[in-house]
Amino acid sequence: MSHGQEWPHGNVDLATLTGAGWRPTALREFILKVHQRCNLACDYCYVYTLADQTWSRRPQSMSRTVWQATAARIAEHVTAHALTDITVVLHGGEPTLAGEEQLSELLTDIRTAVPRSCAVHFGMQTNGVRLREPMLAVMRAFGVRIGVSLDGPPEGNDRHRRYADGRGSSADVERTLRRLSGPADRSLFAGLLCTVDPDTDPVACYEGLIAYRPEKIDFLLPHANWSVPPHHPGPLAYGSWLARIFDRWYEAPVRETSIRIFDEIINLYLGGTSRSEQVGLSPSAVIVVESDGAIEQTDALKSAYESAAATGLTVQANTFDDALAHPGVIARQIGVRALCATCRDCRIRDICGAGHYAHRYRPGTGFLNPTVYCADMIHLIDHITARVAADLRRLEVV
Amino acid sequence: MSSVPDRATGGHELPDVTEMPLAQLAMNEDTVLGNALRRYHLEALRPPENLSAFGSFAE
Repeated sequence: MSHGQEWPHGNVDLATLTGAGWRPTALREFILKVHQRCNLACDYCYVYTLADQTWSRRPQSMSRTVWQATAARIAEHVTAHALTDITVVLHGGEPTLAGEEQLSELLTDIRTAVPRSCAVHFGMQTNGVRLREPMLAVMRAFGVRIGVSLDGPPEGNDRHRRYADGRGSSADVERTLRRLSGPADRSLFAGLLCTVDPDTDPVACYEGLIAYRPEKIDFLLPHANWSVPPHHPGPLAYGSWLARIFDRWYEAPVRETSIRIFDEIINLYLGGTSRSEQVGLSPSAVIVVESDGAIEQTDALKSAYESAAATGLTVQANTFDDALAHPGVIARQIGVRALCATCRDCRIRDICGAGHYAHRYRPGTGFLNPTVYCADMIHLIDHITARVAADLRRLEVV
Repeated sequence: MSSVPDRATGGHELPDVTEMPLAQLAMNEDTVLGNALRRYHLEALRPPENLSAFGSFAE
């Protein structure tokens, strides 16, 4: 079976859905691949080391023609849906490689194109090894909030996050984080992203991260699926690792930071909605624009198979509303209708939401499967909800 | 296309926590649970619409 026949392709029909009253959710988060290369060679990177290799065929850097076309399409989408706030994220590769002059022009062009009635929140996700004053000045000028990737203390981080010559990246990232956690640039520091590695001590990992006083941390499960399963063979290795961090975080007498995956699970348990694509059934309002102008789905799908994130659309030729009609984008917005029978019947369905979409892939059935981390997610969610439920009983809420 | 969100939510719905004295006290504490209850209360008034991407912080 070709990938084009796997779910959701050929199985999700916009006309049927809209006929039944469903409507797409407007896109609000635009991720721009401003640079395709990276100055690190992390061994788990979904851009370079997994199934998709399309990065090598795209322009190294996004050109002004492409970002101006992107800005015009974003403005068009904002106007069509009367949006009052959107987010634009500078991403890569490593976005700082685009250089401060290019990024300053890009940010100016986007802010100029989007109607003033719409707030534009800028963000950048960086490996943090090359974030120096000229770039920080641009970030300050546009209020760009910076997320940094760091996998805990040096021994854990440098096991995976290395330069091409094998050197670890910790020392260089630490220099950046000392600056971002200091008074002058603290307002720019959005948080830390940490990829889970069960070989690192979880509590030491968490404590290594909060040493930089991040407002937020998120722990990301390494990209894997039913065809390429998670690396660590231990039973519940990932779920129990996260549960140990949860206990350390939850038991602090004063809350030390936000941990996105835990906060979202608690909020879902309370009856709220999720803001993270790792859990829950909220519609995804995220779209990616590659350096050549290609409109793509969440880039994590690149871990599944070559061109899994592709839509066949471009900012030069298509609107973002065209992307809202793509089966892959629709599948991320239809909640429980995008779940397989096993997940639909699961007792923690509405909290787990089948986990991350990319982790559901299995050749043949496509993305209509539970997450490959199913057992770990059940373990983690049961652990968190049991602790929260006990406290809610104490507070006489339930 | 309109942008009416399709909210598929779930979980265990709580009653109005502002009417519950102990929960109200907890909401004022700077703990993980206190923060979660404050967020729940605020979002009950105005639920969020969009997701953040896995590989970035953008809120």
